[in-house]
Amino acid sequence: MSNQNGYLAILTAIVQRQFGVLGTEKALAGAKEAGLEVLDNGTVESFEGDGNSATEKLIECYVGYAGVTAKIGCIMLAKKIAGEHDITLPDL
Amino acid sequence: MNAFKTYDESKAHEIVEGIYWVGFADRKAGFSNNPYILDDGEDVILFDPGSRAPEHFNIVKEKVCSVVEPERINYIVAHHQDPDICAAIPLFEEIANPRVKIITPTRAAPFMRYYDSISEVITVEDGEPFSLKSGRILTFVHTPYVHFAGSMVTYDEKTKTVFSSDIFGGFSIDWNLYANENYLEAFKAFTEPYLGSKLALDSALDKLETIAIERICPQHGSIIDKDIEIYMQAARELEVGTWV
Repeated sequence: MSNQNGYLAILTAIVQRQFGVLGTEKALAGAKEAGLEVLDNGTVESFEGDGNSATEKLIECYVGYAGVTAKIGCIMLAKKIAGEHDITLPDL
Repeated sequence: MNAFKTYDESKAHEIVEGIYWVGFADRKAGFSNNPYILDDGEDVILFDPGSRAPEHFNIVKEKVCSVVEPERINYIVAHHQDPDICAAIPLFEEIANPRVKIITPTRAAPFMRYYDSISEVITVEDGEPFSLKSGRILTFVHTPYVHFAGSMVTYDEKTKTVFSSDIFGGFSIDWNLYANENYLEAFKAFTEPYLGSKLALDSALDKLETIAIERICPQHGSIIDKDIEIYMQAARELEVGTWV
């Protein structure tokens, strides 16, 4: 669980990025659909399962809303923040 | 509320006196397409005319024709050579002034004929001022590799407007013509995947920071008419060119 905060940072960044792409309402709806507990400002407070699965699930959810261009942006962002927290993400 | 900010996206919209947005929101793709018209009386300039797909071009054409007689268009500015910028050029050549000229950076110029464009091409150098008949000055600022080798932006001194092409563009399905509180993230969502070089971006920002800017009009995304320094700073902090 040492990387719990790192995964929360990844998930939060992805949700907040989608505020710009999808709008606040849809971004929050997508986060909840992916099983996240999230505040109105996009801060993710908890997730279901392990961090990698939660990240994958969230990205796939947003791809459903916004298409493959969103996927590239989400992966870039996730990898950047993962690097800051010494997290190794699976192939997304 | 600024009167210029009330708009109906199904119609052309005057951003500031004599400058019109004539684009459309492609919410399916998340890329709005934002050609602009500058009507300066004897000179009418169409910036980055955009897509030639009928479902796109017909919207832009209708909006252009609603604000100027198309035969008054005597310059088309192509800030770089991409199809979302240039594909409609031959279609506009059919309705623009027969002597319409295309203004583009030197390194983009060779590609114009691949669109079957027949107009004379004027290549412009970095920082080159271009005087309109009224005396109004447009300055072309080269922004190489942001994102194409031959890229530039146009600065209109009179209104302090930058037509920024892909710089400060946004990827957003939740599109608004004017940047809202979420546009910073839309800007990052577009810029990080599409720009290849931090060095090139910093070089472009170095140039833009020397200019007094009141609004930025990108070819995709939303018009930024406040908090410009926040966007400049955000651009400085972006990580680009990492998706290799």
